[in-house]
Amino acid sequence: MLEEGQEGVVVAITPRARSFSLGSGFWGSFSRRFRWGWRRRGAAWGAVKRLADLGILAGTRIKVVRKAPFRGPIEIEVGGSRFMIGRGLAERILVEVKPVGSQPSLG
Amino acid sequence: MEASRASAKRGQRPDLRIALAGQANVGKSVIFNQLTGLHQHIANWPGTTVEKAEGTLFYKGFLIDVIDLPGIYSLTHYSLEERISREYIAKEKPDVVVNVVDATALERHLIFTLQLLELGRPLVLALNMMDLANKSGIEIDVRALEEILGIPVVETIAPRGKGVIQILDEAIELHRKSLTPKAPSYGKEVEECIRRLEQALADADLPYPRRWTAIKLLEKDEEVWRIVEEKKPDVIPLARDLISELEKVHGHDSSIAIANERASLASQITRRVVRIVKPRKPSLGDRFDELATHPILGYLIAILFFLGVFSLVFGVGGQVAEFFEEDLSEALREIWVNLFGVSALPEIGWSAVEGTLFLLGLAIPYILPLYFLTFTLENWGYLSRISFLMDSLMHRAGVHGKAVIPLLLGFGCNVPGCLAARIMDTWRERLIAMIMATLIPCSAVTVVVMGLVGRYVGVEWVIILYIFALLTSFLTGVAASRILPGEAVELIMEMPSYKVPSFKTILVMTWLRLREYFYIAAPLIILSGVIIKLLELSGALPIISDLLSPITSGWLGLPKEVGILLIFGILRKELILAMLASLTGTLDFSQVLSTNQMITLSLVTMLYIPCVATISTLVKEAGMRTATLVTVFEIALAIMVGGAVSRLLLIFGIS
Repeated sequence: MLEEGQEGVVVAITPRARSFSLGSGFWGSFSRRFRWGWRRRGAAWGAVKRLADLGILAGTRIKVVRKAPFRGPIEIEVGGSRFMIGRGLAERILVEVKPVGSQPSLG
Repeated sequence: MEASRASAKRGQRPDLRIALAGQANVGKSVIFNQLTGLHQHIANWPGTTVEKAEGTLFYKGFLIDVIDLPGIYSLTHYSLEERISREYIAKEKPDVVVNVVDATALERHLIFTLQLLELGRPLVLALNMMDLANKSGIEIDVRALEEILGIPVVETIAPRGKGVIQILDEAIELHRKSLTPKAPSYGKEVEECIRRLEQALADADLPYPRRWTAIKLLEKDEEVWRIVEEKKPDVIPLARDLISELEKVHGHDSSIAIANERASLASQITRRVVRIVKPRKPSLGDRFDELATHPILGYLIAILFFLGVFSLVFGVGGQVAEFFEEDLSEALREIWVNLFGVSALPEIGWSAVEGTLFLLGLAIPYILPLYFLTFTLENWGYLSRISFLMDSLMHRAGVHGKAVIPLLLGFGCNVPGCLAARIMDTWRERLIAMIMATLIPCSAVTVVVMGLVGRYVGVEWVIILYIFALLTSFLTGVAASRILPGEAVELIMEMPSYKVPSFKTILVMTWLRLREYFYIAAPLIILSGVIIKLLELSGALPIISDLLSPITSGWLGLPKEVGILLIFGILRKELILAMLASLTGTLDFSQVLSTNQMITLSLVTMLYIPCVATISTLVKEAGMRTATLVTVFEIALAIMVGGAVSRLLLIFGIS
């Protein structure tokens, strides 16, 4: 679980909560591949797509600004702007902590 | 601003149609208001409750029609707003699209700009919030950006109107030359897929641009997929092949692969045009945010703001309302009686006047300042902090943090509360927020509760009743979220930085909302006033109260006359108090009602039915069936809870 003020790089956004994620854990070295059903995607899918539209994808550098009390949303900083993301969704964003500056660009 | 506003007659064809597109919180509506002023009208997009703001102006001999598209983050099929925007741009083909972006977060906004470029309409990029960008040390090479994107770029500072005229100049210029932009090109594999699909689609008759259709096929966009299946089904197998190929290469779902392409292109462009000259320092806003989102202080600050707004609204508003309902009403009544005398027909006419006065007495002192203050807090950026704090609680009712805004407005009047539910993302959440808002005790209910329980029983009971009402609203939300199909949506919302509120925008928004309120509430309030007067004159009221007596006196333990009060209360709840006085002939209600009866009556008033104005809002926003269901549910709830509480109080010795 990233603490307030900690930065990380998104590894993957999973359809279901896992124990290691932005919300509740620390993701190690590799990302598992997920196959979504052909054209049958639930609410979880919409959220992943929306995050992608905001520029939150695998490889994006994210900073946790703060967490709302009572397991409320998490405030994150991405590319100069800030978003709040519900805790349930935040827990599905798997991140890897890297030292600042070594993140290769998207491509 | 120098552009003169058109007093355009409806129906006159505009010479130029401009659509404003952009993400939420970029100052798009501020630019819209700068352009059109009060020459705008707000309607809904056909068949939806999504707002469509349209305005006209006259500039350089052009009659220009400006359409403010909903604030969205992308052009997928995901939300209603996105569908509306893209259908509008692709099918209605506005002459020029103006993409308003936030200069302080250019990279993220460029992702959306690239999507607009794919749609192939002439595009002007408005780099808004240049002042904030400069202040935080961001320098943007505008010429380079123009060159890379191949479209005109204008620097703007919307609240000061800076750059707004240039947007028009560029738009007219583009229109004259009828320049369409070059579509952005992505990575090699993706481009190859797009090219092959485009070729396959060459002779298809599509409502969308071909390249865009190809990209959307790769993104598995449901709508585009359906259209292609219909118009050119032989492309589908090719699309499937290309998608699985793409997914093999990229290791992601194909739509994510395309999103990645856009993101990486946006980041490349940003690296070439943006220079950060000094690092970001924590601003005053950041420091205030520490407090505003603090686990303890945050809630205290929210409560302080809340109390501040309501003491302002009720303290000042109460005085003004009194003027409308007493002084002005009495003066007009005298004139009316002198003119027409006291007989049946003028009395019916008078009830219409009374209804109008009531409406003014509600709108001007309560709803106007409530809207004004809420919009100020929103424009400043504070309201999203409340959503941040309340999300966890609201989630239990199946909605997310944004729902606090309709509920807050509901305390003033349920009508704006229900209307504000439009901000929710999905239909399901909109409905839950609306139902919850109708159970929030509004200012009219407060008058009754304070006048009965507050005056004769004690403030602690008022607080208990309020907590009870809020709990009812919350539990109803929980129940509704269990019953309604669909899944709860997670909160994804921008946390805007604090801005100096733009009062012009706030005033325009307040005025437009107030006008909408009148349109919705006025006909029903006036009409139902007349109907009730007719019932009174025809002597039907005692019959009705007899009919209701098994419920009112039998089950709820209230005097029989309460039946009449409750009928009047449907019209406007604070009439319950006024009618009680006139029916019993006394202002000392403790002579006619026991403590138990006062508490029960107040409780029933809080819950028993949304008033006519709220019902008509529900009909308009959610349809007849939902409005009827909600009304029936609330009547049943009030009867059940009222009777139960009355008996419970008796057990505790309160009679």
